Amino acid sequence: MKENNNKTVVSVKDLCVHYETHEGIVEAVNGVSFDIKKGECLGLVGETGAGKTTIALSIMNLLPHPPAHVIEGNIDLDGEKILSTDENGKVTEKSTKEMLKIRGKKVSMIFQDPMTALNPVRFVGDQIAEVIQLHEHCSPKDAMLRACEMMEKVGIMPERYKEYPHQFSGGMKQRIVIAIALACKPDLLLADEPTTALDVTIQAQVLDMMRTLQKEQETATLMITHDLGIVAEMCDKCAIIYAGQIVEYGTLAHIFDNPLHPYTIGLMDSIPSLDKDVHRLTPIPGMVADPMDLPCYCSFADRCIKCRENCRQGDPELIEVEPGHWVRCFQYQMKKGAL
Amino acid sequence: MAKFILRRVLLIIPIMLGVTLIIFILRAVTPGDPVDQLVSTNATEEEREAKREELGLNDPLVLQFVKYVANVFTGNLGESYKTHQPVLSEILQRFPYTLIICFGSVIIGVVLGVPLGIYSSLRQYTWIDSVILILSMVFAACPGFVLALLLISGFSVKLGWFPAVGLPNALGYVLPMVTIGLGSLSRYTRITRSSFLEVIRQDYITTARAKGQTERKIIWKHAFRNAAIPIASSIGVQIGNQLGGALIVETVFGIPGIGKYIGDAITSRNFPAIQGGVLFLAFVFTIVNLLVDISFIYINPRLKSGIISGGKRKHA
Repeated sequence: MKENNNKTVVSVKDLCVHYETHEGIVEAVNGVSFDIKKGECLGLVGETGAGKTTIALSIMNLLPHPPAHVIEGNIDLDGEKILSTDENGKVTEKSTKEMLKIRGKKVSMIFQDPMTALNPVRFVGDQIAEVIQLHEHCSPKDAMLRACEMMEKVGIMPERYKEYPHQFSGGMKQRIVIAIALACKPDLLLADEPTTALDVTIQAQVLDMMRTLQKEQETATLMITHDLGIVAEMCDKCAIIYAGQIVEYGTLAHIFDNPLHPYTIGLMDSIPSLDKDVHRLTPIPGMVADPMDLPCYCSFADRCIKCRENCRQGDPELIEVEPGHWVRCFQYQMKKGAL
Repeated sequence: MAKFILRRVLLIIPIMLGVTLIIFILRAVTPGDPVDQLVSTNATEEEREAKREELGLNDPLVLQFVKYVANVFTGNLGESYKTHQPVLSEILQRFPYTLIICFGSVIIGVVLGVPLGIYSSLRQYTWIDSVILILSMVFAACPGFVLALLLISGFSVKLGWFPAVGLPNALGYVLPMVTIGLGSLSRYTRITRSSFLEVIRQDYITTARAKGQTERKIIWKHAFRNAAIPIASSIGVQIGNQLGGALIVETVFGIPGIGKYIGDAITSRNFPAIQGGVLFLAFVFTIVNLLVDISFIYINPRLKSGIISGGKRKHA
């Protein structure tokens, strides 16, 4: 692992977010906790609707109110309490005014779709300069120069400063989005499926560039993805999320070499392998749990091939099966209890 | 770019020809003989026939049309039956009044309507949003002459702030402008509201928020220009409506504008004045829309490069 001074940049505790819609309550995030240290990259892997983006938006304090409703949780970003819950269960979010100084400076976000993340009627360069000017309090000219530097860093000629987003390809737009996100050297970068909208070759280039910049600036990164390949390439640690809960958490070695949760094992089995000659991939049976109607027992039980009777009698806890490797499954709880 | 504008300017010619043709056909099928108004009531049929011959009304319609078009190209819109003055100079004399009222009312409509629309989009589904929508619909539903009479009775008769009729001074423009402006308010409010509601949900607005930009700057620097395109195009349409609708307001307020001119010409079957007036308004309307289209290019850079690269592609 990289040398780092072990300073925790962001700490999320017991985050629980629901969306209150006309059709019912969507239990998007149900008690998620994790820490990310300086220079560290945590991969957050899960299917669509597992609550990954909600977690990122909670850290940015950009959840749409309504319908989003934070039930409880604490988010501590480099000493700033973005979200806190007192003993009586009262949730306090940081005010928008205070967030203005934090967003873009301490934490920034890369969005999934570069096609729509840039303002179509403004020069790309100005869109980078905007964030610099907001936080670095420099003259417009200096902001412009620094924006050019950023463009160079992400591999786009600064001569293209005065061009519009539609004049760039998808991969280049995502580079601009990354330049915006990293322009003020944030402590934490939330990358929400940064390469999902790009084709594979461009994906590799963009990931490569992200990794270089991330190492250079020692940015803590939350890499949200549903692609385990990206996690293997980019991340130090990995959290597998299912139905708004972390079901397995550990280092890359833990997750890839010794996956324990049946869901993680299922994910690994559904990756095509180059060296094994498989006729068909093994899918995970069933559908993603409906966040509007989560069972009161283990939410994966209905799809789990190892499901036993007691799996439907309660919600398992996240337990540490070996140092740094956490699993939320009754199998290991029992083993641990037997020990 | 210049090529695009030139092409659009050249397109005006067929549009004008089409407009002239429609006016001619409408005139031909409209009952009523202009000669009735021009000769004394006890004139003989020979005298009436002579008058018709003199005005060229006995020529075949096609010939009349060709003659008229040829004249229009030389800037001659004919002579008014009533005053025997060239129609063009009569129109040009009256047009400034209409133009001032039209622009004044557009400014009133935009200056009030756009901010109200933005405000109500930011407070969507709150009571204030409903109040704005209901008020603007009341103004839209209220016929121009009713509004005009209400304004006259309030501001001219009771308060005496503005003249009730005519243009004794520049204040006489105010009530007609307000009448038309309030009538168009709802259109601007509702278009702005829906356009903003759409833009404000776009990803790039979230990007701007994630940068730490303030809401106020997000509205003006990021959302406004994107939302401006439907607003600009509605201004173009609205100007056209106001030019055509000027008739009622000009009549109520006794403004000697182009609407009143055409209205008077219709009642007296003054064909050259009707044709000239309508053609002139159609011309102004096309020009306004051309200006709106050109403004799009500056609002929306995608259009600009579309026009430039579109031109290039044809050459390749």
